[in-house]
Amino acid sequence: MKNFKIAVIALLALFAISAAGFLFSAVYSHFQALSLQHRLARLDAFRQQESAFQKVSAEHADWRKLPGELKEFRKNRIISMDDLAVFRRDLNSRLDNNGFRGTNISLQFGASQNRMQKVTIGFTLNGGYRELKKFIFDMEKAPKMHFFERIVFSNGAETVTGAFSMEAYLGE
Amino acid sequence: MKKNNYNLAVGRKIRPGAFALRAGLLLLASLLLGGLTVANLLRLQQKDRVEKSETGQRASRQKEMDRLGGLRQQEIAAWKNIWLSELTAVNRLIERKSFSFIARLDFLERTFSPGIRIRQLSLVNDVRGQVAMTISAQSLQELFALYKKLAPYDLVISSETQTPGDYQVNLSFVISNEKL
Repeated sequence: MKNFKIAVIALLALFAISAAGFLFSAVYSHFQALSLQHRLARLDAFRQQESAFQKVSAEHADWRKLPGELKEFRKNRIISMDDLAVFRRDLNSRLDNNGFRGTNISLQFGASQNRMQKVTIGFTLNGGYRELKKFIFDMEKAPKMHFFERIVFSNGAETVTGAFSMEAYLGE
Repeated sequence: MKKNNYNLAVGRKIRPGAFALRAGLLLLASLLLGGLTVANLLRLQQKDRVEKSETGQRASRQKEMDRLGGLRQQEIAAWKNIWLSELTAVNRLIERKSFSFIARLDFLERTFSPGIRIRQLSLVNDVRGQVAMTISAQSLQELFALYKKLAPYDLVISSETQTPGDYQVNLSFVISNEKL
């Protein structure tokens, strides 16, 4: 009889300990879940910081490449002082190709800024609208840094007169 | 006085089979709860360990990001001082170079009907894409059909003169690159 009592007490004690342990683990787990929100907020802040860092890094990489790209731009797009004569010949050949004569062409050299000098070129052409348009197209597709600043067309009886103002940029 | 002794246990016989079954069930329940406790604690411990390791990594990454980010910001500021003015000038040139007079002439060819004659046309290379012109039309109907087409382009009619059989108008509007 006594042995049975001891066994019952031992088993009940074991059950009580197990139940207490289980309850403890459940409560602990619950508190862990409660702190999850706080951890998620910290993770979110970290991700935001990481995203901002990546943006700064991308911007940094762009700025690092910039001097090389500007050098390349100057080399490929800006007309050098030595190439001014080449540009002038190109302009004449484009005028010739479209049946115009390069007369009364004015060039005005402006002040130098950012190691570039602006040259304003003015001229007037007279001819058919299609030819004028073709000439504008030829000039626009040229890769070097010159472009029309203003064009004024006046319609005559049979022809169109175009007053052109161009800007070309020369590198120093 | 006679002392009576009662033996209450007499007759209460414990059946070993039933006792063993109940004891077994209790033991099983205890073991089950114990197992669950251990599994739960192990799971939480594992999670905690992983999280501590991740937190540690994040903290060191955060320090590195703070250091590098600060350095890069300083370098960017220095580069801006050197290159920003030239970069702005170059971007402005690229913007002006990409301005297309041909695209605007194409737009005008599409918009104008044969009954309208353009007497003078001025196109300027600027961000807004200002177009000014003097036109003449044979009928008011054609003129208003043109106004309707140009209305979305900030059309301004500065003067409209009527002579017999002819309407002469000075107008201006803007065609930005986005609208082409």
